[in-house]
Amino acid sequence: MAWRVTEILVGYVRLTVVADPYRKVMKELVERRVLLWDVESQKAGDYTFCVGVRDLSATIRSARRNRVKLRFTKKVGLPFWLWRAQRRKVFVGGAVFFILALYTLSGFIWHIRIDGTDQPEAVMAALQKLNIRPGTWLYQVMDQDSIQLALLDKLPDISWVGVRISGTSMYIHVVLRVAPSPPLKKGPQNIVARVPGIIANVLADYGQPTVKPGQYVTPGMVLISGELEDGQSVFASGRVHAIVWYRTDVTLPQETTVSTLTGEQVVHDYIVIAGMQIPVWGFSHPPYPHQTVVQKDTPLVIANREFPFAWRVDTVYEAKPIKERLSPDKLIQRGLSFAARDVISHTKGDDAKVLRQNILQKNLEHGKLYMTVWTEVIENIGRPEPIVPKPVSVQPPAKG
Amino acid sequence: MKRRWRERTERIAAEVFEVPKDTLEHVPRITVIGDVQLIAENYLSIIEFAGDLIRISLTKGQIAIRGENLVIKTIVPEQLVVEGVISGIDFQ
Repeated sequence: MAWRVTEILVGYVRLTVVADPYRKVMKELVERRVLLWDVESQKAGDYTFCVGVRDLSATIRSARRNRVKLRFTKKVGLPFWLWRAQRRKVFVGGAVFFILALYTLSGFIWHIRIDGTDQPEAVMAALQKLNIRPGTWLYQVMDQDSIQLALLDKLPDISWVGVRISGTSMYIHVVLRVAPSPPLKKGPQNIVARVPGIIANVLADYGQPTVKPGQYVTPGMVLISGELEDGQSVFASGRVHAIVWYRTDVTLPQETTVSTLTGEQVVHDYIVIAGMQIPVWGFSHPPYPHQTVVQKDTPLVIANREFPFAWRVDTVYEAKPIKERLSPDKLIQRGLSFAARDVISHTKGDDAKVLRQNILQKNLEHGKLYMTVWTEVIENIGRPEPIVPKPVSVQPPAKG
Repeated sequence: MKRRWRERTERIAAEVFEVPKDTLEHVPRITVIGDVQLIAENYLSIIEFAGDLIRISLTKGQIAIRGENLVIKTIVPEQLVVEGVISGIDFQ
């Protein structure tokens, strides 16, 4: 087969020898040890064969000597292609031009996409200052890191920019600098008591404290005043910690049932069509005396449209109820902690602390604990209250 | 005289040492693959060529290949490959 490749490189022809019933040309060539292939006999004394370009002149001479005609049917090989290319200069030129044009045109940036900002014009203007616009030659453009740095330099209100050049497109992703939130409006206000209690300490950031530690306050009492002595009104702020008492009624059963999973489970798959559930896989229904079912639906969504089909996977877990019977001591402990948690959940702020708990009353009967708990909490009781200008009371002029 | 002596010694040597006869160069060798391909080595010339009959002269005798659509796939100095539907091979 190797000689075939060389023949293609050097070139070969397929030719028909017309009216040579005694195969004189072929016999002569065979005798001269010329390479021939695909020798086929045609009708009426014709036959065709392939011969390399090197032996073509010998073939033609032999045909002349024997007075037979040769007809060339095919010319294969590199020299013939080159010859043909020479004859079709315009065609070859067009092909070369096309490849060159494709190569050159793919060296430009044709498309710039900017996202992450609602003002792509600003980014575009910055890019134009860097001489980057659609139609810029890619080789004149700086590398991506330099563009990123230059853009960061030119645009003060972006905190990060990512530049990616992919083919003839440039993708720019901008992360805007998040502006600091505007300061809250600080009108004049007082800090007043939210609940009754005994003041533990007062930490005033602004304003004049009007209460002292150990003082009993009632709701609505001013704790930190925004009205200063010189008549100015300011935005009072600060923390006022006070000891506050809560009374909680707790009812707890002595016996509780906790459900735990044993680890045994079966999975059932369904297709849900318009609310109808068709089982697909998983048909075993083991006799679990107690079970927990976790249902997961995956609706069919194509192009943001939800279809009324869903794939439902039910996982049935075997459950095991565990009965727990607490001793009275533990039950009381649990009741106290419940009460403390309940009280803390009712306080405002995050620095409430339980100081003491007293059981006022407890009664364990019929398997239930009834308990009243007195809980002492230290918490921030301050509540801001805006200062409204006092209406100026106009006294009717006294008639004298 | 010399050539005949050489031929004789070669033949005797081939028989004594059990060398296959086709390793001796001047013996024609014909390989037939099914009824589709025939490879003739050590041929001398092509006597007749048609679609249904090819006659080749070998270093010893002639061979006539009968068949349909016979094509000489390649003719190289060492061997000759015939392809087509071969129906008969005659040694003459």
